[in-house]
Amino acid sequence: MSLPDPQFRNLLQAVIDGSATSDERELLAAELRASAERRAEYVRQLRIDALLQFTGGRTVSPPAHTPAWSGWRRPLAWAAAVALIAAGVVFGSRFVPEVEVVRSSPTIAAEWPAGARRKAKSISLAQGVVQLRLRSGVTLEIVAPAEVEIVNAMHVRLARGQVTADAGDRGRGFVVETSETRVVDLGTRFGVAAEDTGHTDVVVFQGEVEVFERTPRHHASAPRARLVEGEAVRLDSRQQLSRIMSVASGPGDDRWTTGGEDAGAVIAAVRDNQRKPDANYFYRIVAGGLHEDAPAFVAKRHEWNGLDAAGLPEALAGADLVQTIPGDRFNDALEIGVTLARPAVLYVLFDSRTPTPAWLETGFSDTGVRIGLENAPMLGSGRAVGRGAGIGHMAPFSVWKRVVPAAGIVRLGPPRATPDDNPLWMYGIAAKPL
Amino acid sequence: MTPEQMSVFVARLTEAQSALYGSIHTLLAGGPAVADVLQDTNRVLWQKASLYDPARPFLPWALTVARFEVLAQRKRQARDRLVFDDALVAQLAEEYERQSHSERNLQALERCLQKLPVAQRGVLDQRYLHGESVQDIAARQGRGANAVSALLYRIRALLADCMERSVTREEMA
Repeated sequence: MSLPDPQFRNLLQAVIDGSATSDERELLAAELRASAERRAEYVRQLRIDALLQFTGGRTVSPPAHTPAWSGWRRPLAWAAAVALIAAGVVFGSRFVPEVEVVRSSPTIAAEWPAGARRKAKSISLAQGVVQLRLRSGVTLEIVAPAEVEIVNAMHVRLARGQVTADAGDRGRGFVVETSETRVVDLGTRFGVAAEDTGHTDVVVFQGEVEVFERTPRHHASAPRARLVEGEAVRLDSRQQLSRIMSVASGPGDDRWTTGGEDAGAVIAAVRDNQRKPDANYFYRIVAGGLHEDAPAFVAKRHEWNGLDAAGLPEALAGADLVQTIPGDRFNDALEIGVTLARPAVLYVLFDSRTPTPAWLETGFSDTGVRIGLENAPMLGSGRAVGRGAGIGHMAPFSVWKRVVPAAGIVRLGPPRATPDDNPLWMYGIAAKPL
Repeated sequence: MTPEQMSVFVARLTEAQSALYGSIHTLLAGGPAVADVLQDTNRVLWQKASLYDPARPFLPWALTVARFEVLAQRKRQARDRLVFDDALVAQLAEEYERQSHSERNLQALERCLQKLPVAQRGVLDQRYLHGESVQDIAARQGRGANAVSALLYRIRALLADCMERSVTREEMA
């Protein structure tokens, strides 16, 4: 035995982990030739490594992965068995990631039928949207045009396009990598878009993520940013980080945009005058998003509802909604600019128990209509938010409106008239085309 | 071969897959060719099915076929991947057969996996279920790749000890 034990172990580890150089492999071979004891240790490690690869480190026959074994003892079942062995299905290398199609848009359903399982290393999507489930339980929604490499069930690389990951509890630590950044999930639903212009957008819909430089100088390097629910940032090709002010989408999370391009809403963008390096909250624009139980704020469970069983007034139902940032309710310096893509009626939903600030009084008119902001029970209370109109603890909000005859920007002010007022809630913003 | 003989053969071949995979993985020191060589081995075993005598143990025969397929693969492979010469392959194959005497490896592995602490199961899941690289696991846990490598090494050693005890107990019973 020429090598000391620790050095032999390091060599063996490097071979097993696939990081050994050819010199190291030669060195190991020489060591093995010289000693039966070393050979026994080598076989012990490699054999267990192989068995763990073979089973995925789990049970003898993972139920979702292997075909039914029991029927194989029937005569003639051998034909099927041989076909499977020849096709490599029986032992299926666990290191080629397998995905399951959860759903796909109609134009690509033939290519991506729901329920199909396939080995996928790289996915190139020219059109449509596909939602996949990885072996880790993480679901990944890919919006075309996109190029995605599935490195493994906990790591994808996005060359181009948009993905939204729902990592849930089992997917903590899920990584989405682009040319600019690595986003590490901390139990969440989040989206990443890699743009052709060379920047990456990261949007957190739920939970929390950490954003790292793509190639940290050493592994334990600190994250560039830690984002919580309701925050979004852009990283440009020089690794500069900036806040994304608004994220537009349809009623679901699946197709979202940060670029101000037309997401179908009359509100094209929302910006404010806040520049705090550690707060990167976005305004969420939801096309047609104002309906019973619509979330009122980003990162809160409060909802808009009709005050009573009659429900939301018809004029408001189906309006485009801006989920505002709840922490802004005491912000006396706040200015919000709402960009309207076409002529519209702009609504401000304002707590009727709070004195009206001057900008609202002069720029808008009170319609006399009242709707409810349903107060969400504390998270730990075990109580759910009420479903439907008039149910739950409701605060009365007045509906203010302004007719805006041409596309352009409308400016809104802070939520309280004087610093002594004590508004309970941030106001809401909605719009309907004129 | 009668359909009944054929079905016995298929059952043995199926049962032997993990041991064959392990043997090829060991003799090639891992690498991308393992799955291909297993397929070649299955093909050859299938072609020789009529020569198999059901009265004799299946696994030693299958392992011998696997060893020859490894040697054949090595001749095809680029020179820079040539690591183990014929003599060393023969020695390792013998050692593998000595350690892998039971065909019930997977059941033993499963029992032993269940005895592992949750944290160790977690690392195994990351490496073997999700197929993450050691570097990725290390980066996430904020520790060095060597520390994760060493931990995986210890876990494999624990599993090997546990399986050996488990199989020995079974044989004595």
